[in-house]
Amino acid sequence: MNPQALLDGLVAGSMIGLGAIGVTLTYSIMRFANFAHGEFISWGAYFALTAAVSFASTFGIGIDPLGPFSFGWALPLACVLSVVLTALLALALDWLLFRPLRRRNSEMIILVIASFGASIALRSLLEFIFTNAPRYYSDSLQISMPLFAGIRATPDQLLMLGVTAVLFIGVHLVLSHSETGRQMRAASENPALAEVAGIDVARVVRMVWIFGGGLAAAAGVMAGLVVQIRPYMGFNLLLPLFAAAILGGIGSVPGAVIGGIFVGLCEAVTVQMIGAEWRQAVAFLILAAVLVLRPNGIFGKKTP
Amino acid sequence: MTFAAPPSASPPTPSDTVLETRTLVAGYEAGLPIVKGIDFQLRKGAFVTILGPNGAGKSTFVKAIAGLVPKFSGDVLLNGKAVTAAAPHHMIRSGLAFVPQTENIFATMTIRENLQLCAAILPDRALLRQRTDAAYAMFPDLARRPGLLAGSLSGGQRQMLATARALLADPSVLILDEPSAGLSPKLVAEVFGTIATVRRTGVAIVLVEQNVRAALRIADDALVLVEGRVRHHGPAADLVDNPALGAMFLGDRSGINAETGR
Repeated sequence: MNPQALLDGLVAGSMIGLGAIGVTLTYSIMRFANFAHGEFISWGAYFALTAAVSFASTFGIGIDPLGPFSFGWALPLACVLSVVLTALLALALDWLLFRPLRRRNSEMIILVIASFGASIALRSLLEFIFTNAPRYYSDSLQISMPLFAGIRATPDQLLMLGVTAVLFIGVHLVLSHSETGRQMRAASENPALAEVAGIDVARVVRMVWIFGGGLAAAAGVMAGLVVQIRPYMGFNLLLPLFAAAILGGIGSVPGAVIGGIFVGLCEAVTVQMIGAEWRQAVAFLILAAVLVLRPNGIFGKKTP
Repeated sequence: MTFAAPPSASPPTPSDTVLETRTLVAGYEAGLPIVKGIDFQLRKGAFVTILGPNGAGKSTFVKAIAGLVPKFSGDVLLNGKAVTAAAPHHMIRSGLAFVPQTENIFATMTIRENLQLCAAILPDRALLRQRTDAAYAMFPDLARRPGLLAGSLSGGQRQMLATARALLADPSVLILDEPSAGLSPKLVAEVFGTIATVRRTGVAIVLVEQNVRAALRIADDALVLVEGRVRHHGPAADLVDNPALGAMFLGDRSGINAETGR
């Protein structure tokens, strides 16, 4: 096996992991599988694209590549704006669609199907606005540099791994040590008791959308940077996202990230050893195997 | 102030009432009320037990007060203020703490974390720490291993933790919904020990209980519900050794008539 699969897998796995955090939080607190989560990734990528292009064309700044990277100042700034906009998109979708259904005490399957509809609508809207043609944050080509043991990586890929590590550690610390994190865990275990204990569960739900949407946007910008930007980019990540979230155990943030990296590594190894056409099958096989062998996942505490 | 009457002798006044319901109608589904117009007043520091046969609406009544069951009409007043439409998480801020019957602790969190959740309503860290220490002093069982997962506690200890968490908010009313349900006799004694401890803090208590004799021994007053309505409200002592009591719990009117007609 070529050790290069390790790096490719880590890069793909970080994007999956960041996306899976949102899936696992939504599932554990609102108790439904949000099929529209992939669309937050796509919209995040396009929000950042639009913002970066606007910054560059309006102010003429941020085009020149920063040091060894393929992009200029415009992209990091656009990424921050995209995180905010995608979080707002997630909140708006909840307000328009999921909250009215929750108020009616709709069954879980209704929410799942509604999220499926939202996914189609959001994806079609992207195709309508931006067409199906792939887009890129930068035209500049990056030469990957040799690291060790024959592994090569582009500066963009290394930056991405670094940013993922920082985001993951940050989110983990917030959820495990802060007041908000404690309230999220309480609402996840028993929403009615959380209310009785004085926790505003509606506020906790808003925090979940902000975290999930924001991290999805970060994943989208990274995927756009190292692969390309397409309306289907998020939808194609959906199966790996669910495989990672369920493998890690619903509700567990470290589980989602470790699950994401595992799925990414398995994909990379499969591409190398069997063939690229089997990449999509890997997440499916992992998902099926976890559901049969260990439905609560690695870090799962209870049946979701 | 020799002319002032002792507090125990003064008649109940509106300012003395911490919790009041006015013709409260509530239930899970519209058109199917379970609580059918209950008027109820609770004085400051009083201890009332709510009794009644299965399906009388005891739990529904207290859950409706706490905001967990939809109210169709009527009002709930807490310390004189209407809280009829308040969200459940506002009730504890207004002074009403509710301890559900089952699943009343966060099993996947430690004892300490369960108590720390009170920070949601008590932003003053020093005060929270002070009250947490007081809760540990009241329930030494909890203080022994605060890092223990609450899910590994016994039924009686869970009830202690749930009660301690409720008391951290320093409520004026504490509602306990069948705390002894499903526990072994030894643990039931433990739970009633907990209630006796809580009683000394001076909080007004509403206790829904199936364990009639034990509840009547510990409470000042009893409110008996039958089919969603108040059947009897008076001193608990009046109901002790009342032969009609058993009949009332069977919902058997002929039994009561037979007793009174003798």
